Amino acid sequence: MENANINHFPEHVLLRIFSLIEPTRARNAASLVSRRWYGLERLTRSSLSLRGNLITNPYPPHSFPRFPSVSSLDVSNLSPWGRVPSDTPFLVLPTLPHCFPAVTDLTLYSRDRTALISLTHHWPRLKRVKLIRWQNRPNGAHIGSDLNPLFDVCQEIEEVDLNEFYCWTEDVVEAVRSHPLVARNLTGLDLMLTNSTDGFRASELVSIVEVCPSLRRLIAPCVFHTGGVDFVSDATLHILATNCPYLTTLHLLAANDLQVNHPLAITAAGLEIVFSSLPLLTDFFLDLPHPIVEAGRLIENLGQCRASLIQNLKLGNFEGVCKGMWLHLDGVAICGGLKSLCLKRYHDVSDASLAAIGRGCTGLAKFELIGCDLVTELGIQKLAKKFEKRLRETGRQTLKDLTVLQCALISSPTLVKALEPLRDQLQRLQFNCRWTELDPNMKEVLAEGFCLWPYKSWDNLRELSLWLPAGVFPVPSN
Amino acid sequence: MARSSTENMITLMSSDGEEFMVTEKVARECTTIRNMLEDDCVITNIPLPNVTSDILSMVIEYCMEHVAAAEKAAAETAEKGSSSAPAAAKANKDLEEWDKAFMNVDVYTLCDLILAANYLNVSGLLDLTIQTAANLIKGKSPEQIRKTFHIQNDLSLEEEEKIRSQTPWAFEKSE
Repeated sequence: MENANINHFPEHVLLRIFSLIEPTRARNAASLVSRRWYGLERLTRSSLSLRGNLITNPYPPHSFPRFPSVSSLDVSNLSPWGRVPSDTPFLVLPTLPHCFPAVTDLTLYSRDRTALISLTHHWPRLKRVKLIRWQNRPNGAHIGSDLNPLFDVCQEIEEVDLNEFYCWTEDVVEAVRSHPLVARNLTGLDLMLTNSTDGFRASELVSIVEVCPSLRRLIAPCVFHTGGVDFVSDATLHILATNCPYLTTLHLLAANDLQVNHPLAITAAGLEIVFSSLPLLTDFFLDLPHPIVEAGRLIENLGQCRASLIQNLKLGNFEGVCKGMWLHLDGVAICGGLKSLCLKRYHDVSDASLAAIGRGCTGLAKFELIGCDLVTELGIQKLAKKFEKRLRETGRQTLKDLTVLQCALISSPTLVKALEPLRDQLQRLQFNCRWTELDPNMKEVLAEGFCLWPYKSWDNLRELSLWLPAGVFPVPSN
Repeated sequence: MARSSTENMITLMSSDGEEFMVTEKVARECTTIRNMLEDDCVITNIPLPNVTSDILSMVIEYCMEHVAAAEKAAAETAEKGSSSAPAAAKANKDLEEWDKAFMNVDVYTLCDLILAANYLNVSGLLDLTIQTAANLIKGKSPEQIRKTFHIQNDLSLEEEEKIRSQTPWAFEKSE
């Protein structure tokens, strides 16, 4: 064959090439190449987010193109957000299902129930829905009424994401309880509710898990505070674990970051039972507002029994999570299969703990350290060196994502210096340490810290988030 | 590379008549040839009228490299009883690097390789070449894409305008 041209390729090869094109900008360019390319591009686009203001930027006069393969559609950025304006002909919503016949995943800004009602009737087979709402819940709405249209129509729904949806915990309980047939097939519930609630009470959590036996993923803020009534206790968690034995992801977080003085109704022994009832658990977050004592042994057991299974851990306030006192590994350092680890609010995590984690958690790609008062840059350096050494010797994947927040003993310049061994590996770095207060001349120390950025390249860094005091500019001095 | 003499050799003949002797193991990387061999096990000479000698030699080079890598990994596993993860990771990385260097070709060759990989059904090579072609499309303007792949623009101005008017509405899905 003389000089093969891409247009002579068999259809199935071309479709495979087009399905690999991303990001959207490249897809938009490819659709302008030729008639055939336009058709191929539209056939293979699988996800799309629509944006624009329906009133100021009117809907295109000619018919909207059909995207037969788009399975994931985000209309939450179409303004006016979620409102079906009474004074403008609402052109988009009725035509959307026609243009996107294959949608199974939908993200929608749901100001009130109207948008949900009009869309779900066209897409009754939705599998995954994410609702977004930052406004208050409409006054006088019946409990659960904002969510009911979803469960009334979409009987096959599997995952519901309400992390960014402002509503009350009662709304969720009511909507789920009144649709037991739909609830039975639910595999995922994300219920952070924009962090605006006090959290689910024990009875509410029980009400939900009783009707959702298939859950694989549950994310919920909880009331752990024993000062009031109906707080989440060992017994609640036990009911949760026995009702939902297939859970792989379980995140239970204290609703607000306040520390409480009341001891918790959750104990290490209780959690031990929970772990033994959830054999598939890979992803466990428990962020508590008060320390639970003697938790190191619990985590060790988890690591020993299921070293290869547990991948993501976030533990807030587990006393003795890793002591790192002796040569042997202890606590969380035993969990060798961890891919990500977050330690939050510890007064007993030290530099030695970090060294132990660096030795034990060999597969760690993401590490977050939040509110650990004893850790200094030496601990970070030990951790970084362990990972760097392992990379050099074995070529194994290494730490790529590091977060250090609210750690009083670490300053930003020393942190950056301590990370030198991982400079070429880190892809994401976030810290909010102080820039200095030990040195009388603030600017010089600041410049010294920043010198590391311009003069040495951080080749793989994609995302950087740092805190600066007001009035200080991140300009390196020469 | 020392091969045992008992191993079957197979002759592949390109469209321009050049003959390539390869081991059966290497030839079996091509699903099309594997099927032929399984249908008729005495076959030793296979004409491939759709593939030129330049391209065929590259396909064979790819298959040999990947067969050798797989053999090496299998030998290491047998030796140590269990595969050591770091060594396997390093071997994988080396092979990836090799693939990357192998894909350093011009667009004509790439297109020929895609067609050959599709015809001979070498799944690894097809995946690799298709990904390379998709990467070539990324980050280019429509005009640059046309130039790269030698494509005629058959869109009328009105059609182009119509497609352009759709793009402000179409963004990528945010994380």
